[in-house]
Amino acid sequence: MSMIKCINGHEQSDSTALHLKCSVCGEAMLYENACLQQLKTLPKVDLTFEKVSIVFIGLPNSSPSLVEDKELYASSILVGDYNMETVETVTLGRTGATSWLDFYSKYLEKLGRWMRFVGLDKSPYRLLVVDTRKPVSVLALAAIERSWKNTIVLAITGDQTSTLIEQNASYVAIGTALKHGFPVIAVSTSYIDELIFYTEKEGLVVRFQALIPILYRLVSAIDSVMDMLGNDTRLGIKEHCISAILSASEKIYLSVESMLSAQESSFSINAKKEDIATISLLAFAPVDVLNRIEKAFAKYRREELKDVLAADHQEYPSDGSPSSELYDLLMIYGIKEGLTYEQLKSGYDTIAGMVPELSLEKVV
Amino acid sequence: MSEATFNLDLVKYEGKVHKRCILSVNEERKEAKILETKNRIFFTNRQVYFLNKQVSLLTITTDASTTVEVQGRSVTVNKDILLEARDQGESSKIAELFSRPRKEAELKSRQMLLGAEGSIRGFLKIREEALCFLANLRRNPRKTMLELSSTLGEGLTGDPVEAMTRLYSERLAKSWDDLISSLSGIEMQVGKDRTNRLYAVTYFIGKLQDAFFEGKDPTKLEMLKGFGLELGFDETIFVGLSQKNANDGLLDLFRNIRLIDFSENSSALIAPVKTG
Repeated sequence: MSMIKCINGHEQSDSTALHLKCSVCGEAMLYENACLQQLKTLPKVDLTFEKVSIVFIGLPNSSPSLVEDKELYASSILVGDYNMETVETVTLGRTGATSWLDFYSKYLEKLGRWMRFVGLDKSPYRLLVVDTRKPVSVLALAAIERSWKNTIVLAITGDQTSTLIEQNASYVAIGTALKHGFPVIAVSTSYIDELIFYTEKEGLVVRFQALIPILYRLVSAIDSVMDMLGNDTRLGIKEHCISAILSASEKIYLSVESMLSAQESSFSINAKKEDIATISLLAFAPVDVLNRIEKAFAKYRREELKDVLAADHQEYPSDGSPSSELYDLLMIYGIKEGLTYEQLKSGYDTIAGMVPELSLEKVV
Repeated sequence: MSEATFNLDLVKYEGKVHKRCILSVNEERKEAKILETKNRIFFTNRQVYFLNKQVSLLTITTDASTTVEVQGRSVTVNKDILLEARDQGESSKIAELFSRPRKEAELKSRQMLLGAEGSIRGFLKIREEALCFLANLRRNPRKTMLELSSTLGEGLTGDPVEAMTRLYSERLAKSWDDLISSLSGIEMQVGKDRTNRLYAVTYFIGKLQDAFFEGKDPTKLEMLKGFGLELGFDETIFVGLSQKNANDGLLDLFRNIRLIDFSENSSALIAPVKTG
């Protein structure tokens, strides 16, 4: 509400009625100041952005269940025949570009601009799902500004089954993410190839489609995930791997303890128990199961992972739906430095030896 | 040509009639001189000489306040000076010269009023654009931001929303300055009341923009309707408003309406007048 005065100082409120003449003295109401105060300045607008931005890099944005989430902004960065920019997708023309360095040199500014103009920095959290074998991965990770805190890189890494050039790109992409200070959760290609889950919504999902429910869990618990990774970073641990069991039930696994032990054989990269520096558990389960999970996790850590630097767990009680006896467990492991790209080193060196430009140092 | 001369058959001024006069109009100096031809007779060496001498009779300043009436060969200037030209063609030319300063002043005044109206529309147009931008930004921030990509220069390194908001604020401030300068320019000419009325018209349309930006509160619109009618807008405007649901194109409703009435006999001079 604002007031408009007449020449003699009598006020009228613009929320009741406006007149040319003052109702008290009949003199003219003065509108110049009212225009100045109320029309010259633009109103403030509070913008609302989704809590999490998930960006698929070198991967199609192929998850309806993720995209429909109102708390989530999903987009993808792809390579195609021509350049195209929308809010959901940026496609970079492959003309004349084959190696990661070609894309990096040609599109760094363009992609950084797209990221700023779609407001990638506006969400409080960012999850980058990157196929690091793809040449576009290095460019995309380099284009993310270092100042964008709360950014997690889920890196699909090359392995011994990947070509040497893929290993080289994967190595440089992971190195770029780490140089930027972003925590990396590594998931190997072989791990994804063997992924198989049953989900209530999608039924049986395999390979990359089976990664989507894991991403969904990461997104739905993003505050805890970021806290866990932040704590690891403070301990100097920036590399991570995961293991997951989805739609589990005590009918399949005899006990929660046996289920936790089974996780050791399903790390997302080629790691051993001795490589684990920290462990964090995200449990999505009915309340009574959560109690058992908490106890089993404490026992498991005490007995099986005596040397870990830190352990954490977060519980998310499931809703009261009939299927609520099923539960999901997601473990995030902080691992020793260099383990993520250890297997990629020889492939990287071979290519960098042949073409010195394709080395990590070329990425600013 | 800055000076024109006419022979007059007679000049009637302050109740006296003067015959055989010459009118000389100097446009640059904005003055007209009337000279009377006097006959003088000289006697020398038993001879008689006739001499015509021109004596200054009157000087008239020609300005915007000079009034002229023409009837046949007669031209009446400022209601009390009658000039009779040799023929009707000459009387028309004389009248045209005397009325030129007034016509020029009227033209200038009309241009200033047009400029004032243009500056009001310009200010409100920029405001409409800015509010549309903010409304789109509020509704679909990422899409609106990406659309800015072509508007803002390649070299932009900062936040695009801040950059665009700053750009609109600067444009709005500049057009406000134009509006102020334009309205204070006509204040001497039209008076403070009428200038204030123009601010009121600006405020009225600005408040309509605000109502649409805030989601069109019907109570507020009803209150604004009363003010709009008081300002002279007719009901058809409000029919158009009731069919709108966004700021975009709001000013189009006022496109065929003059915010300033130029008609000479208008009691208000400044009032919304429908033109088409």
